[in-house]
Amino acid sequence: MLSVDHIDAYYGDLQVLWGVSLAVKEREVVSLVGANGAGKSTVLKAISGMLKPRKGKIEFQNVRLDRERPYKIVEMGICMVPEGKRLFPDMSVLENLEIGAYLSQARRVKEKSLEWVYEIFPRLKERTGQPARTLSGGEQQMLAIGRALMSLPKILLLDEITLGLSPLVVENIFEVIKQINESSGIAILLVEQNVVLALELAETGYIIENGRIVGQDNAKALLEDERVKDAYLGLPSGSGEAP
Amino acid sequence: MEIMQFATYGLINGALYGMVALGLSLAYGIMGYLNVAQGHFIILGSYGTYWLFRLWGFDPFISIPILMVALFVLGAILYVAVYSWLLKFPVIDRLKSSLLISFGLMLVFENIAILLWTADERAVTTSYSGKVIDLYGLRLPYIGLGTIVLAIIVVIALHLFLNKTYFGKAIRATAQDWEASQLMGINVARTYLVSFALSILIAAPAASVISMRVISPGIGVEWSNYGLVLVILAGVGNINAILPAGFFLGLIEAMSVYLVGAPYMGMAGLVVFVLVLLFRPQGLFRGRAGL
Repeated sequence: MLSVDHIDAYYGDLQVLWGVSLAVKEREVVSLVGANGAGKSTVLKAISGMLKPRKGKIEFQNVRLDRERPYKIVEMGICMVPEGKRLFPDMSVLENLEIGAYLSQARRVKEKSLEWVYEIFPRLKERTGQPARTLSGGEQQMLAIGRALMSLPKILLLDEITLGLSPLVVENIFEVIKQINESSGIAILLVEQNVVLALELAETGYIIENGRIVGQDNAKALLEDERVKDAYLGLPSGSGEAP
Repeated sequence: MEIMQFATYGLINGALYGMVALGLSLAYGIMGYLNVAQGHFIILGSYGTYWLFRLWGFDPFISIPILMVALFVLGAILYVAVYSWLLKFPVIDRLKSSLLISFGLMLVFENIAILLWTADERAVTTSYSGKVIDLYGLRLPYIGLGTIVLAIIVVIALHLFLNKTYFGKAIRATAQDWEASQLMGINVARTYLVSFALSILIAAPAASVISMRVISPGIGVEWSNYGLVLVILAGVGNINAILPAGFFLGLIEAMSVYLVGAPYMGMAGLVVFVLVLLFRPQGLFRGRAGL
């Protein structure tokens, strides 16, 4: 459904992605894992149109999108939950969700989507009139995901959604993402530092290092991969250093 | 009773200041553009009103809708021609560059206006100019009452637009985080274009009222000054506080005229402005309410 084909991307003159390729199939959950600064978020930025790759191409349902502007890409059915949530702080929970349904096709079924999102995140319904900035970190992340769902995406790009959340909230949110994928068939491309959780959730996993894809496999197999254990899980060496 | 009369004039002036400042506050709050040529756009609108009155006898209040369309188009053209290029810069650079651009536009407008209409002072004199309603000895000028009513209508209409319509909400979202807005499918470039044109359009009622006072090519900068003072008093980006801040400034000026004398009217406002900048630079009112 989504294919990223050998893209090179730059911040100014600094090359950050080197021939990155990956693919997401219909209804699939794919995780892209790697260390801080490896280029994970840059891949999502390139897909969502916020950063134009200089080489290579990105296709969604066989339509090329790497020259499109970001709002066009959302119209095609790709919605991103950006790193740091990026809610509209002075707007209410309801208004944030309404902006999620800004596209005309999403606006027509806004009331239904709203019910759906409130069903997934009942906490948001309790907070509906509150400004987004007054929510807790976990609630803000729920709102960010809910806002993206309001656009009725075919694929959801999730950028570091567990950053700064407590382990309990993280588990909760992963559970919800699994449900969303299973019940509505929305494909998911997940970018994470939390390698174990991300690979447990996904069917396919990609490992990115210094802007290059260095590993790609069934996610469960990757979890067992010695290199992954070494580099990200810190299991066998037992050095105790954080990944 | 005399003090009440002064206060009335103060409130009328304040309503006009508020209408002048709204567009400045909007453009700054949404895009980070400080458009110091706002006063000149307004004066251009006033000339429009003047000629509509002179040539075809249009009442200045009736001309407002025509003026709104004309100013919207003017704003859109100027945005595309000179302001849209700044979007790729960070907000702080947008501020600096927009200042330079609008200073340039000020000079251009002023000189075109002098060429076209000479530097003479003009004003629209309607049948009701100078007429007053006598309310137990309090003189309420027709035009002044119209000014206050207009200001309240403009503020309410803007509030409804920004809070109740989808496009208005998109404008607020873009003001709060334009990148996230893009990711929600908002065409940010178009939103900015309309917002800028709106920030000019919203000055149409002010332009109409000013045409009934006095207009000359050089007077635009004075109105821009009033606008800037109000933007600071209200708190940058706080459009809900613009009209209250306008009334406040109008009353301060009126009281200084009452207590000290008319020559010090402009100074009183500036003293308040400096005091606010020194002691409450975030503005008299809190937050970014309205955007």
